[in-house]
Amino acid sequence: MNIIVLIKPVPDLDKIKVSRGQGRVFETGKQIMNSYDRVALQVAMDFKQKHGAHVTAISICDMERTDILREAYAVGCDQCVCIWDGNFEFNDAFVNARILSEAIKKIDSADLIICGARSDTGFSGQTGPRLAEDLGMPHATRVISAELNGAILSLECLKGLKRTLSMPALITVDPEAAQPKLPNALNIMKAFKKEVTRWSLADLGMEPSDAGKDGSKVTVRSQFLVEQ
Amino acid sequence: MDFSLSEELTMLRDMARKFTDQEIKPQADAIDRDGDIPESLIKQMAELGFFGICFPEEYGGVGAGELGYCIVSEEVSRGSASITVLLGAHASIGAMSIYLDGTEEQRKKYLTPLSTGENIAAFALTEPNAGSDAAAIETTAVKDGNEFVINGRKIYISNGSIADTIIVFAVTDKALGAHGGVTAFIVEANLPGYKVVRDEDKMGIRGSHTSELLFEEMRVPAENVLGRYGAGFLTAMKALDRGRLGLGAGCLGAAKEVLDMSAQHAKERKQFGKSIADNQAIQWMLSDMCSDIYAMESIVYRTAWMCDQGMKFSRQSAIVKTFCSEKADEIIHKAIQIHGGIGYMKDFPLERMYRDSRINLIFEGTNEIQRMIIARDILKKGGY
Ligand SMILES: Cc1cc2nc3c(=O)[nH]c(=O)nc-3n(C[C@H](O)[C@H](O)[C@H](O)COP(=O)(O)OP(=O)(O)OC[C@H]3O[C@@H](n4cnc5c(N)ncnc54)[C@H](O)[C@@H]3O)c2cc1C
Repeated sequence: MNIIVLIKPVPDLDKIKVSRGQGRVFETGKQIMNSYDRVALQVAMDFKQKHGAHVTAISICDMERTDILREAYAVGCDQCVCIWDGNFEFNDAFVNARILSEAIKKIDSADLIICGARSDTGFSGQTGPRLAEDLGMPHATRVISAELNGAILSLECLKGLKRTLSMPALITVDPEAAQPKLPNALNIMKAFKKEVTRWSLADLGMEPSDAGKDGSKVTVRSQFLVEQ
Repeated sequence: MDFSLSEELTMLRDMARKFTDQEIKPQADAIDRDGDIPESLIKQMAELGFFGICFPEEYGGVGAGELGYCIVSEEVSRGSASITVLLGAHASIGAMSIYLDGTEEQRKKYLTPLSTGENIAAFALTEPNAGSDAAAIETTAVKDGNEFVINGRKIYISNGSIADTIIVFAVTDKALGAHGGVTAFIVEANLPGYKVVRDEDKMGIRGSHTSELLFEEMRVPAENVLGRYGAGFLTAMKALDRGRLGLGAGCLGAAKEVLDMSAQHAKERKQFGKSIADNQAIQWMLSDMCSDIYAMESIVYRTAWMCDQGMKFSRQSAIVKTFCSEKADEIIHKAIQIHGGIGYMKDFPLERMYRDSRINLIFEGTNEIQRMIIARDILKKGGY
């Protein structure tokens, strides 16, 4: 079984600085892994342990600013893919889903795709479902428990909703789906020696205008802080 | 000069910090109260690699070097000094003796299960009549065919009652004295004639077992001589160089933890209509605590780096031990002062940390002995 886990870097909320004057949030320090994606990784690792699987982590991230793919190796992923290009800073969920779908088509062997239900920052929860639609896969969102019998996934989603999906399929997971384990020290040391596959837009057969501000459907007109 | 921590060690620290916050801190009071570290916690630490951080992967370790060990020791010390001592006696002096002077076979056979945490190590040097004067040990080992027969008593041995593998230092030739007449042995706890007499009831690090051990006609195979016959004292001193450095790292972690607590408390606690942090008296304490921590951190990491470079660091590790243990004691003292009454209460960790920190001025060679080592080195090799 081939599992793909999508992981996203987010600012470390303990380390952000807020400028009231400019209405902006500045990130300082390294970006960390979206907390929902940690759960997604653990769900994948639980499947790997129980049923055997090759797990690939994919992230749209700038490796200069984050070690999340190293962390993915440290918790037991078999392969890590980094997709990054110059104009990615302003990607929205529409663009990211397209990029990820091209990457997954390039890998061409996904039985199960696992994503976090949403991100700690954007909170839109769109990337997973959009990606499933792009790939033409059945999907379920906000999964809190997942069991595998052959090619059939038995899922429990938020509010007790039961679903079954036949693979290939995509699920997005909520924190209840698994308790992320800490990586062991030896795997941490080894994680930094492993090769990360790096792809640009061109590697995925996409044009610069497909990404960034030009490709995105969302336009940010202004930003302001809500006084609490 | 590059003072940045590698990405690997940064992630290692992050992992150890999370483990300390999630697992150690919630159990730290129970560890102190019950005088024991739960088996489940030991198992978790073993799975994470905590028992073999500084040893190479080929012997079941993590390969993170002395600096990696210091960083993990620092982080767990934010939670429980009993765990620092469990790991310190195990890795930093016990298993370390085998790593430093063991043969390839001894390393494979004994170090590997120690690194993985399957077995626990202890380091048995101190005796009733040989504390600071470790060269005065009286335990004897007499050769008999292919075995040595060991008789004697060791006291205050950390991990003694839970250890599977004990490094025992014994006199093999009284006439030769410490240098030439003492040999180190790898002893398995299941040998006939090996006996744990009792565990001490202590002021602090109460979760760490400090044991009295008795050896009566205990037969150890000659192949378990560790290092050169007659060079045991050298093995002990080399291991203690490492131990003292790791001890300093533990002091550093405790000091950082209480500074964080103190800064937070100083801002939150209001008296006379303002935060107590608005008083210069409190600010100066915080400032002095932080300055000392900066110095502690600098010498711990630099000395660990020296060790990892294969440089000599005996003088430096004696300095680290003395400076960090005394500063940590002062810093926790100030932290309690900043907290006022609540700092003195058992339902707050400072009371335990204060008791725990006191041992650091005594074990692994008292601070008086460290000053002696430093001074001797200065007088022999010159000043700075
Ligand atoms: C909790 C705990 C855990 C321990 N764990 C271990 C262990 O795992 N393995 C092990 O082998 N040992 C262990 N020890 C023993 C420890 O290393 C000794 O207690 C320590 O070295 C001091 O020896 P002592 O207690 O006999 O004190 P003493 O040597 O009797 O010293 C008493 C006082 O006299 C001072 N003094 C002695 N000689 C001089 C001198 N020449 N100049 C100036 N001052 C001097 C000392 O500094 C001290 O202040 C442990 C001890 C404790 C309390």
